[in-house]
Amino acid sequence: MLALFFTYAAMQPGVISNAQIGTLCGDTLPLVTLALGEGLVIITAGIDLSVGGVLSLGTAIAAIHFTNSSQTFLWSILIIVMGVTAGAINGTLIGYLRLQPFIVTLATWSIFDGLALEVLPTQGGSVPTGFSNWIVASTAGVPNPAWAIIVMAVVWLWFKQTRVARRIYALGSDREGARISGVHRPRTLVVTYAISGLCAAVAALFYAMLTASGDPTAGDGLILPAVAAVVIGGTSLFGGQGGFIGTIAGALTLTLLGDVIFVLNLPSYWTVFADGFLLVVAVLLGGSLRSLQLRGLRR
Amino acid sequence: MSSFTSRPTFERNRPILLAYALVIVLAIFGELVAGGFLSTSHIDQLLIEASFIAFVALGQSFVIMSGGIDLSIPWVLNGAAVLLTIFANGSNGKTLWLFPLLLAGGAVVGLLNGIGVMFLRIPPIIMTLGMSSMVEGGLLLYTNGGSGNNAPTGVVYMATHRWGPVPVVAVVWLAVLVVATVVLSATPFGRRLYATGLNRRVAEFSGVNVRWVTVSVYVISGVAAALAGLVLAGYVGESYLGMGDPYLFASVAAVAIGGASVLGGTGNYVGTTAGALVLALLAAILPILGFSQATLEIVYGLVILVAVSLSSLRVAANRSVD
Repeated sequence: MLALFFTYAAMQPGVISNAQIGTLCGDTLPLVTLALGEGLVIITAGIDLSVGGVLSLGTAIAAIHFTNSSQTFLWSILIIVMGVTAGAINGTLIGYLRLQPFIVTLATWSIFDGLALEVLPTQGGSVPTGFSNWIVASTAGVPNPAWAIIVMAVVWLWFKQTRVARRIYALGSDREGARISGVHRPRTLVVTYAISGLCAAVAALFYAMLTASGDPTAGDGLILPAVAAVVIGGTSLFGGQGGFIGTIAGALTLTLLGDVIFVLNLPSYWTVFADGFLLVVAVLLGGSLRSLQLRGLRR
Repeated sequence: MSSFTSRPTFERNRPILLAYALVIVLAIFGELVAGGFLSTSHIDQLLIEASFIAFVALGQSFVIMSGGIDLSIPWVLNGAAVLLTIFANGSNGKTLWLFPLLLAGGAVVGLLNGIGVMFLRIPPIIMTLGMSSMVEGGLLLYTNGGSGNNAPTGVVYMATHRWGPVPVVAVVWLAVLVVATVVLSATPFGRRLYATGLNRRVAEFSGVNVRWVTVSVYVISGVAAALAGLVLAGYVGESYLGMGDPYLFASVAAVAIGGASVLGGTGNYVGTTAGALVLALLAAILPILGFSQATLEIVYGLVILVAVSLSSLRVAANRSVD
């Protein structure tokens, strides 16, 4: 509901037309992919700051190693393995060593940022045009990035029914209750953060397609928008509620906002300010809605 | 919880003693791999570079002790540095009133963080992340993405001059260390801060004004970050956008090395000071061994993980589960 309101408000100036859907979805794709994983982590009442580092490292590797189609295929798989491993490490430290999510992922964010700079010291490199063209092409009349978002949404709707997803929600809404009903907390967290790492790695591939090059600091600026997309989409920071469908609306809202700022001829720096402002406002609104709903229940 | 106060002094301060031992080991190692590492001029250099970390970590210490985190430090630092060089435009006369004004600016950002966390109940990580973006956006809009001017000679003096063998900024740091230590260990505010960090609810019930304490720590963090920015502008001689970026990881790493638990309620600035020294030594030693600047970021992350894991094991051993 909240998400729709924001989307509506952002759509008012009429920037959206049929032809622009492809561009819009393409521009949103890395963010929405990143936010899919971030949302899952936030549902467990955690946070994953390391997705920025994983995305940076992914684009850096892509820009260096994507030299031809077979290399692109091989290294894409390695990037995805890297993302899953990174997430599994986060999940292990948080689940088994019982460390705080923000501090673990802050530390691994720093580590992956450093690794990205080792791989690719400055912005640059390139990816094959066959690879980067995918994001601007269409299949059966529908732009590829729109397909990608639809596929992710379908996968999400399936995933939400699985036992793993139910455990993740249970963990976020009531940790003690989840434990009593047999949810293995450490194992569930490893899976959750591994999925978040996977999403960050796939987002890195989309980002490399979109920019046709690599940027070892690309991810730093996407952490806040990813969290903001999740929160604007109606997922509670306190865990247990929300999901990817709202997150899609949240991510599209943020991208549209950038477009509106562009159309209004405002400096693009406004988006940096607006992202931060919207995050805080969305948390505030979400928090007051929640406290209205849950007044009297346990805090 | 009561075990915290009744534990023997040595036991309680072991992480801090370990941190200082690490400082000595690293210093000796530095001298072994590069002769002259421990010459007076290089020690001064190390102290100056450690002081920037020590200033940002001052605020981060207070915030972490209260059970929060401040992610807005890099852009508050950057804002103070850029605005100083733009407004002063090299003039020391203007610097005289800009210096306190920009520290107050840091306080205002901290105040907003504190209000968001305490009164609007926004989680610290989200509030300070959002604030960071707003400050960054505001700064980008104001400067239109360009960099600042040269730093006025007054702050250059403060950041680089030496009184005899002692850097001016090291004296400032020592003063900060004394004040912070007295505030934490010998004032009601310090006791309330530890109580708030250990258990907010219990602190509230025992009459601590938790709201006031929480808002104060974010204000302190804002002022400390602004101070770091002003001195760093003097050290670099100019300001540019992004100059604060390394200081987020550094501030958290310094606090973690100093033995403070990220859960709040423990640690002190004497430990954080050792943390700042360790990081400055690592930053000096790694390039000598042929590692790049990027390695430093990896090391920051590893250091945070190791320190936090150790402190969590300690907490688990000393405190039964809530």
